[in-house]
Amino acid sequence: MGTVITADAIDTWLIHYLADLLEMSEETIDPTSSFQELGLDSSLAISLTGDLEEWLGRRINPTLLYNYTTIESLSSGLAQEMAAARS
Amino acid sequence: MTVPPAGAFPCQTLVDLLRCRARHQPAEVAYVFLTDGELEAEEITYRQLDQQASRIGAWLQACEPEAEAVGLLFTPGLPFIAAFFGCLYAGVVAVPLPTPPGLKQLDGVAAILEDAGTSLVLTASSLLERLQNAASDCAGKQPIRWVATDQLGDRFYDHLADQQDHSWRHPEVSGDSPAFYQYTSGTTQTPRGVVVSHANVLANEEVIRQAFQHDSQMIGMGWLPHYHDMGLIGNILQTLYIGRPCILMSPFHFIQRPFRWLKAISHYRATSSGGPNFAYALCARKVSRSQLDQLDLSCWSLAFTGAETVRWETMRSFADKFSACGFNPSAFYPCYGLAEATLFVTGSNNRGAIVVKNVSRQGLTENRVVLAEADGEQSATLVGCGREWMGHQVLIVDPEHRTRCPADRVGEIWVQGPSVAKGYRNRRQDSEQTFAATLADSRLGPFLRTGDLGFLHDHNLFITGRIKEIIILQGKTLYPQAIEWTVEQCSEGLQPGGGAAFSIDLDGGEQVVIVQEVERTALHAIISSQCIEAIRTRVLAVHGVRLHAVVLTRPATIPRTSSGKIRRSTCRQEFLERRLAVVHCWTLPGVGQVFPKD
Repeated sequence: MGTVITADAIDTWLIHYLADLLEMSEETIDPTSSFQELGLDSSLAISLTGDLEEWLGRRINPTLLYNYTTIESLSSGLAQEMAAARS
Repeated sequence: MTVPPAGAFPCQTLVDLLRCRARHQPAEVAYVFLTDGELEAEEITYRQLDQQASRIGAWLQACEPEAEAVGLLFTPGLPFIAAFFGCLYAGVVAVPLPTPPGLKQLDGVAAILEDAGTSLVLTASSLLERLQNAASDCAGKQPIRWVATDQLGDRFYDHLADQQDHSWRHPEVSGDSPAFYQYTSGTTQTPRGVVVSHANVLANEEVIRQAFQHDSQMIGMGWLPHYHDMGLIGNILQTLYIGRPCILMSPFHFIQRPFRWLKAISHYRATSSGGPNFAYALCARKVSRSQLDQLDLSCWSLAFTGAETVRWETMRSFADKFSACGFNPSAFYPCYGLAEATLFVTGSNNRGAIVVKNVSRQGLTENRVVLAEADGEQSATLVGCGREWMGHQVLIVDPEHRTRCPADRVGEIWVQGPSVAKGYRNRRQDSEQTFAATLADSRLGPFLRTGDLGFLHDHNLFITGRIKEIIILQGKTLYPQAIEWTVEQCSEGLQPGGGAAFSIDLDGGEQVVIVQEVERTALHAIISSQCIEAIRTRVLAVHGVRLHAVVLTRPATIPRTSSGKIRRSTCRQEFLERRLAVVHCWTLPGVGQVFPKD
């Protein structure tokens, strides 16, 4: 995969994904709210990682959202993990 | 090489069973674990499993001779199976523990360990550090001792100061010896451990073998958690019992991409696989048209569905979608069971003939079975879960009077037979009430009282609900599911399957409370007062019930079991303790308010 996925790119993807899922406008999604507060149960949290896998073309830990519980932490955490995997 | 049939050897215990397999088919694959849920696989043969179990068993015998029970905390995979048998080989009771997500919150695990009377837990070295950190936050009485089964070698030599032979010795266990404690998720917080004996397991595996028609060509496949009865007894131990391979994967990999389950069945040509109703619903929803082209499900001859309410609609939509890739709808096998009876209690003896009945909801309030036309509001659609098998008996009994019900009456399901466990760990009274019931008139017994309500029709068992959850109001039996269904239909923005109806005790008597999740998509748009008004009016009109309180809650906050079932009793507790994530709450004014109006 040529392009480097930045935390910003993941952030944008997540907000777009959740806006779609929750039928909300992107501006109203708070990146510091926990996924649970936004309304994701454990099944949806795991499904989200499945869709992340499809977008990123790589395997993602299904329990990722238990370790990174907000959009903000997930974007930066995942970007870091991916950078570390490349080096 | 021919596979010795299950009954060919005098196996009294699961230890005998694995030893037999290791002796007669040592190089055959017992389990395949799909480490990434897709292509990467680890295998273990019977001989390897026996060797690993002996090693762990020897360590327990040498280093923990006082241990009576040992916890097992593993992520999905083969090491759990080896450790499970390691315990059995040492003559120690195995206690499979749920794996908390992220390995963070260990309070549940600590509660189980305390009930089981042990503080020793076998695990994997990769999990040690996280578990030790999490345990330090835990409010347990006894500090937990973690031992990694892949690090036993070092510990063994540390412990061995003498020259004694510490090789494994066959334990002194018989069929009646407890093999493991099966902790049920249940609908309340306190853990209850069913004491399952070797004889219980062997009896139940034989019943499953016959009911599912498993033969020497069978190939199993499953993703159910190993700490659930269906995963342990239905997947892992059944194939060992038959002497055939089982393909396993993590439940997380399944939920992440449900397609993987079906792909694994297709790829490995599995003949027998299943799960709770939600798993079939998930596949019907999430698998895409293009993915269907990659599947050939014609090998799948037994698709069991159980552990939660079997829904006709789900089976239909699954069959509609997947018949295009060879799925045969007559593979569906609804069944009923519970941990207190090891696992399986009923299933059809007429494969492919699913029986569905529509019964009047009005009739159900009077505990009568009245056949009706299909109509969501007025009737309930129930799927038959079959009959009992060899050596077992299922009765429908009036729970209050303990007398057998006449045909076509709803009563409590009672069970008798070799699969029924002896009782709960450490709960004498509870065990006597649940496992040693007798019929009032004939004094026949002991029976297991399942706490489930249902009726028999043409030797087919239909389940209607749980005793603990029904609401008795003015002599009428109200099923929470019926009221919850009504509530869901009242307004846009209410989460289907996200409501709980229960009763609370107030000075006036029993009062009914509704707790309902608001849909994620409606959280910012819902007009609570209108919605609640609609709910109150409709429930009164349809069920004749004046609601005491209606609480709208944030999405995904209603307490559920790990498999997604609503915990009505826990919800009730949270309501009383004001711990619900309230969006809006209304209570009937003036009647002993449980908490003040908004």
